[in-house]
Amino acid sequence: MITLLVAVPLAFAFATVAFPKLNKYVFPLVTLFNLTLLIGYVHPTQVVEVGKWPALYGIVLLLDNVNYPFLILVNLILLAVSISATFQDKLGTLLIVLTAALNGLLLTGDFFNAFVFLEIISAVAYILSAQNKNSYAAFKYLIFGAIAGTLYLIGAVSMYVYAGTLNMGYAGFIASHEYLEIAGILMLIALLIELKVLPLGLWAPDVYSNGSTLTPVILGSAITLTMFYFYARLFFNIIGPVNTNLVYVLAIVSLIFAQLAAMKQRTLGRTLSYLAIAGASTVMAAFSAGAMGDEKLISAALLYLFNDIIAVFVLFIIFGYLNGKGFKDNTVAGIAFSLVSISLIGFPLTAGFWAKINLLTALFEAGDYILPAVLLAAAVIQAGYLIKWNVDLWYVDNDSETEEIYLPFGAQLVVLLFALALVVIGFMPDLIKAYTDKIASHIFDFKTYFDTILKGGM
Amino acid sequence: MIYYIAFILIGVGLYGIVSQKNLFKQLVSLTIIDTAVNIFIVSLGYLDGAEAPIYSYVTPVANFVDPLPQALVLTAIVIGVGILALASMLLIHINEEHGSVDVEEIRAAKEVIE
Amino acid sequence: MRRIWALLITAVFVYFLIGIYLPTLPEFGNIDMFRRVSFDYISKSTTREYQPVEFKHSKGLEEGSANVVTSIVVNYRSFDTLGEVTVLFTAALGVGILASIRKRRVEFEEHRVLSVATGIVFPLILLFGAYIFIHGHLTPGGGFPGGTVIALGVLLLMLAKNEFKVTDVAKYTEQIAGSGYVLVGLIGMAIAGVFLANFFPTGIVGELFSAGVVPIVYTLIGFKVGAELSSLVSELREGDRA
Repeated sequence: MITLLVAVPLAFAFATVAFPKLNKYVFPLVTLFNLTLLIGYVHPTQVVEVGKWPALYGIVLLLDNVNYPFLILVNLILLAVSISATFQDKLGTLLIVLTAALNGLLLTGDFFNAFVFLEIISAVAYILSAQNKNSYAAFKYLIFGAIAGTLYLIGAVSMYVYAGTLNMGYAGFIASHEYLEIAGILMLIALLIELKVLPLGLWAPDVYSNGSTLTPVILGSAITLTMFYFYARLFFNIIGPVNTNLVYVLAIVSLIFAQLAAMKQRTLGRTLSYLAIAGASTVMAAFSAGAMGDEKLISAALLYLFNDIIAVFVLFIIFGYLNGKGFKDNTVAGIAFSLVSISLIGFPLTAGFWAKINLLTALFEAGDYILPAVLLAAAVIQAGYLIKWNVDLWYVDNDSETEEIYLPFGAQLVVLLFALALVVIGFMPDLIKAYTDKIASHIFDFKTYFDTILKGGM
Repeated sequence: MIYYIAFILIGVGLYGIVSQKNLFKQLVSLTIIDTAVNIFIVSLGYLDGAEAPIYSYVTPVANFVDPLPQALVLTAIVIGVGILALASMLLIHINEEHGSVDVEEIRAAKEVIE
Repeated sequence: MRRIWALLITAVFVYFLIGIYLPTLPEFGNIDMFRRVSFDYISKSTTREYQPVEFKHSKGLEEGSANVVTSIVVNYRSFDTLGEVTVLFTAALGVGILASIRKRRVEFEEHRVLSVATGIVFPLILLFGAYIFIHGHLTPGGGFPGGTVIALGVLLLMLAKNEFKVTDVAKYTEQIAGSGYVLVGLIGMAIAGVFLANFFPTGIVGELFSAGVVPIVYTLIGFKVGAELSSLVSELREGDRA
């Protein structure tokens, strides 16, 4: 049943190539179908052996308590994108392929299958980042991303050499630990490039600031979320922590650089892209601090990730439509922008407040003092430039000669709903905290994962 | 040994990507890295004295090298071709927009615009 | 300055590969096949006891291709091939989207020798390509090289005759073949319960009509790749005709 989550979008994508005009309706329908399938018909802990070959020999798709919330959130984000963004018709087919590939990467239990889905996602991302005449940035992203893919490929094949099989569960069980770590280093570098951690993520500022309503929204929210899930699956569940001290230091340095750079930018686009990089680096630092099994810290980091993803979505869609014009005629967009900025800074009564408080508490309990200090300093810097941009955008003088731009109705609806969601979670954080606690408690449990695969499919 | 050849080729490709100023040469270096990785993966499956993994009149019973790396490389080559095609189209775009495919000239042209 | 950075990064990476990574690999040519899954792929014994397979004798096995690599690519790990087909599809679509910037056509000079020779060689190229993907389960090759050979034939035609255009037939072929592959998987799901399960009888190893669904899938892939690469080359040459 869960194969339908991948097969149906693919079938529709192949079918709509000749009818590009239908894309506007097919894409929301496909994501809606996925959501109904997820919420109504499938429930966690299912294993499907594709092609009916036993798990050691064939490809395994696995749905358990860790990727079920991720699946729902990613499909929800794609549904929101389908309603709110404007794009040329031919891109709709690519977005349906992206739906299939994201679901596939979230479900898969096989190293090489993950590589193939990673490459599909990267190919769609290269094409998306070339919108709005931004080909040079897209080319840089392509070079970085192709090297990342190649490194992951070497890592995946080494898994086969060490363990004799490509299945994630069996390979984690059979291969010895030092071998797993060496393959893990290769995969780690590949994921760090994709997750925009700064010395390896130099492609991100140019790509995210191209001003289209589609590129930074999808790259910053759905794809980043999937990559973080994949990082957590590989390095908490199967391989075990690899080089966490190095990643910790790298992520902190990246966070400092990104926030300082965001302060110095002149255009809103580049500021927002450095903000996205800073958010991803914070979550990466928190993940590497909690990699030894600290469930409270991982749960807090996941809440922070959720807040960051929704915020990046709202900010970039508003930037893509308004492109720096003021909020005087677009009060809905302005309210959403300001609410989300408040949540990012961490004012009380928003989701961001709970995220930051939980993260700081968990870090103090774990005995870590460097990351909280950097986090607080970064929060101050972030508050500084976010407030400055908000004031600039609310009180800008609109010349009467430039034409007025409005957000379309779908975009206004989605943006307002997401911003209000962040406020609602600020009042009742237990809504999301239940999910993040469940994910955090299951993600360190390799034995349950392996037992599920051993028991076999349906 | 063949592993050394593959690793040195990866090094050559990486050097090319970081040091070259012409974007097309960076693309060629990326292709060199792809080819080197494919050679490396296929050589991971070699068994001394065994034949190609096809049942035929020459080998009616099995005495084969490892067929799985060959299947993986089949997929990896096709993916590399797809990425190469995309990159070539992007290079055509860059040429039409900025007038050259050299990093220094593109950067100079961008400075003028801003 | 660039060269110093390049030398540094390359040196660190090659040192990691040769110094830390290479000692963990088995010696070249000396692998332990019994510890790997390929042993069961070769003797086609993933769901039964081990029994050696013999060319033109064994029949009714779980998997009937004589070419073991084909059996892995199309049968045991068919989901990966579906993903690979999607990567090519995405790349071709991306080239089509980005191609709208090409305003002028690239013109070729016609040479008499090339035009005459192409008329003789082109049907042979198509025949050869079709042979490769139809016999994918018996000889090396399969859908992807077969489709590429067909696309190369179309490229030759493009070089020989300046006014040749690739029409919309390529797009429709690609679409039908691609949906056909997913449809085969869904039919497998309807008949056998799991996506992409083999539902045709597997016959004798080594015959043309054997191996269940594998020749059908490879034929579809051959058509798809041929149509895709032809339209890709045509778009690189003259941009979007829409």
